[in-house]
Amino acid sequence: MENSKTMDKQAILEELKKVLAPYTADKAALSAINEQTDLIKDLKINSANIIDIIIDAETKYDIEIDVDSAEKMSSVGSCVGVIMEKMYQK
Amino acid sequence: MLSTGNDIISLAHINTLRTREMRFYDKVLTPSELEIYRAGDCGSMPFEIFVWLAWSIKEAAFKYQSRSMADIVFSPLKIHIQSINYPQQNAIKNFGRLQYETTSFPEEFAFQGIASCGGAFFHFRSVIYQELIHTVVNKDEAFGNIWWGIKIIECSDHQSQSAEVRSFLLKKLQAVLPNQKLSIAKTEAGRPVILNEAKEMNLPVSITHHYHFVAYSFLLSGSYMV
Repeated sequence: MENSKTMDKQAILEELKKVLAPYTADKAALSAINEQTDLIKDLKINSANIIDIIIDAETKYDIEIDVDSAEKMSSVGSCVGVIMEKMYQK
Repeated sequence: MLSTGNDIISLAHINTLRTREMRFYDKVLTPSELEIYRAGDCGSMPFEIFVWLAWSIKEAAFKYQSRSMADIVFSPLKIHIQSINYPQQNAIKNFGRLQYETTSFPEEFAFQGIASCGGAFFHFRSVIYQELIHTVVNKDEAFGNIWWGIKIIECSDHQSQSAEVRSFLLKKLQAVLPNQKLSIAKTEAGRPVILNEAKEMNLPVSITHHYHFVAYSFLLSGSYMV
């Protein structure tokens, strides 16, 4: 479980790759992700797995992601932003 | 604006244990939807099936709305299922075929009800087989001008799903609207549209895929009625 408030954006992005890995078959796209990468359009993640990803992120970072924050998690950058926001709120 | 929305779930690929966890279903079901289940309105339906039925209804409603609201974001808890009525024949059977295409939803085997989002109301029809859940959402209570189909595909990679569902839909459209040069394009927002000789038709379509299942819905109205 990661709960360090000192994790920077790049470190979270690298960790996020591991969270996303089970839900995308496009490993080339996954290895090349950046903040603009869209989870559904670019990584071809099925929308039915979005809640799995949110729960996995909650578990990994020991955070709670509310409905309004979950709505924002469509791209890698927005996922990182929400995770950082929730980690610093702890 | 005329629209349609549909969604399919492969039940072999849901995570039953996770779906039954509160931290999962609390992100899908509103308290009133949980009450619908707890009140026994859904008979002996396993809870995980109810959760994914609700997901399917909400995703189809989102697709319906996204045709006219390009920036809309899918948020399951902001789509409210008002009612779910059981069909007369509610024993869950095997899909038992490679594909199925029809129009309308016979009352004897379709779940039906109403969902709402931001003041807009939608009617839905869902079919549940051992292998899948499929839902179509419509603005009107009557589904007589809604066409829909489900097909099993061999390869479940994204490229195959995308190609197969487009081919499946186009083949049906060409049968229903013969002598037209139809093709499928995608808007910048990723929404499928039907072209006739490169001109966009006012013929709303929706496509969906999940693992080895692909499905479509489309609405024929006005001059396209057959």
